[in-house]
Amino acid sequence: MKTWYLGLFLLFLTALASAQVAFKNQMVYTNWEEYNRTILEDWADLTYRHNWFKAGLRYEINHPPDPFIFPQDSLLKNYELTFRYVQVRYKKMNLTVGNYYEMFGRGLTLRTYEDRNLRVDTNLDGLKFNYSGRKLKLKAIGGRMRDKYNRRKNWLWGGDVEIKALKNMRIGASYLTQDQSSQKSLWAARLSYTRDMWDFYAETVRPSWYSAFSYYAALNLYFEKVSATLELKDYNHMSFFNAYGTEYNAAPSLTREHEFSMLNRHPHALNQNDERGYQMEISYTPTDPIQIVLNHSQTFTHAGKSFFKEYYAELGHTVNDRLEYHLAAAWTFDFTTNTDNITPLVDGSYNLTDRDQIHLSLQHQHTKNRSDLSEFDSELGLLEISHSPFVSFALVGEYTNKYQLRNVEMKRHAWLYGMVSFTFWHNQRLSVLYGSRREGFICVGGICRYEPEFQGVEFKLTTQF
Amino acid sequence: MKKLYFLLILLLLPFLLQAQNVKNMELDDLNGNTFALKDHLDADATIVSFWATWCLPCQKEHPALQKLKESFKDKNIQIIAISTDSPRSLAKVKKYVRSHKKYKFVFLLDPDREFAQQLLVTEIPHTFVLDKNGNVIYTHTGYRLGDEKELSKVLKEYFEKQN
Repeated sequence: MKTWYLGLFLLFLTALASAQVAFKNQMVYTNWEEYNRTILEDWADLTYRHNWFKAGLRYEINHPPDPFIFPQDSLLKNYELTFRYVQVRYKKMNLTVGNYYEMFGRGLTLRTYEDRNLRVDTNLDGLKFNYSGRKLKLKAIGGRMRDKYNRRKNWLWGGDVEIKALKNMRIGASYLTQDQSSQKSLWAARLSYTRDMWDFYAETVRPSWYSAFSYYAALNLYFEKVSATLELKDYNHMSFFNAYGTEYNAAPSLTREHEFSMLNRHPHALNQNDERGYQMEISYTPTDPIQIVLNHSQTFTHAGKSFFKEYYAELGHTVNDRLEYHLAAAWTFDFTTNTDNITPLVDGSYNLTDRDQIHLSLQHQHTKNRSDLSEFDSELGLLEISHSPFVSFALVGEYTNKYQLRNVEMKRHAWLYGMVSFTFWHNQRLSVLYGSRREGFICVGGICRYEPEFQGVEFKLTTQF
Repeated sequence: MKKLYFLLILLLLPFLLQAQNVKNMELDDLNGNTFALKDHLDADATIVSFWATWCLPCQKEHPALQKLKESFKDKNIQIIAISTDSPRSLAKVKKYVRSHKKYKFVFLLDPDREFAQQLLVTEIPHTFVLDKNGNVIYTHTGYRLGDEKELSKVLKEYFEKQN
């Protein structure tokens, strides 16, 4: 720990001498009334740059670890330096030693990333070389991936090359191997072609442990007022993971990332070993202030079993300088909960002045369970008043009549919390939440996490420079 | 107790440190070509905004940024919109851009969020204002109606200093 203090102090002194320093601290303090539990979480990030040299670190506090996220809480250190790196740059080359994130292609072979809201961090610890030329891009990596307890096992080695073969065409290839015998290696090849009215991307993957190709393809079409995207997938035994079960790859899930809470209640959990399907989305802009979005996606197993299906329509309309609204509706089938869900919603904002705004969102969801044919409804209301740049107030309430079903025990069927956020002195932010929050899934990038019910108070302070 | 002191030091650090420069930024544009900021610092000022297709406040910030750009008629303000869409939504980025041709922005991609991570961007929208040399002179997280007025104020102050 002394070395760490000394390192920070030296970095601090150097920073004062020459500039280009960024610092951010996110602190979350939660008092969970129900369990009489308090949790302090903190992420302190510091980066330093000087011409060709760059260094950074992250210090995390989980005191104590949130038991809903880290069930084996003894595995996670309460105070830990979880991320540190140095990077040197020479012309078009970069060499990184320490922790880093990387993605090859569209993530079918490798995608490491951090999503702090989901407490996901899959950075690699090792070294990375990167060359970025006009016609050639090269990446070479070696490292061990982090799991959620910050444990690392198995060295992963790999490389990625991309060549601009023609004016509008790029081709690329990736190869990855790890020191684990059950899942040794995989390779991938990709092609992208861009024209003014359309573009195309395709990538195929072949693992060493299963004799099948997986692929992902996307076609975009652009017209004057209409643009469309069609995506296809076939993922067959391509999940590539280390001894702790942390996946190196995260392919596109081909389900829509929604802007509205209720639509994310029944998300699709990506299974990279047995999935095929498609997604299509059309955007139509008949006039400047109106936009219509239509989306449809389906996912099956290779045996033909339906896993996820969604139809989605959205109308966005900016009526005038003051009023703007979105109307949306979705029908979703999700096999994980074996439910059909119909979700209409309206979300609008009204500008009181050029700095004051009211935001109102009303969302309804009707759920039918295909197993026992039971049905229930959920309602969500959000009212937010903001005054730029200093303050916003939000009130979020939710109600369900699920508790009225037979064989369902729910202590609570209404939730309500209020939140106030302040922004002050060069983008420092403080928010305070008090009340109760409903359980549910949060899903980003194909990864989902269960959010337990919460009742209590939560403070969040973000300071940065 | 030591840990509390440490936390206190971390909280005080931002008020002591100096600004950063991002002119070495290099990211791919929507056609896979590398965009190097140091080759495009001929604008009077640059606004860098991190966004994603699924982020409604980001989509509300875009028209405000376009209006802001148009309001400085005698200045060349470059707006760089960096999408942090993961591969799940990456295919929709270009569709969004083509559906909003009125935005005269430079659209770039950061799908593994490596550049965002280097700038310590953990929430979006996140907006930076850069001076002519690529130094960060203002940063802001989130978008509420009226936030663009703060950007405008910062730019006016910056241009006044320049004159």
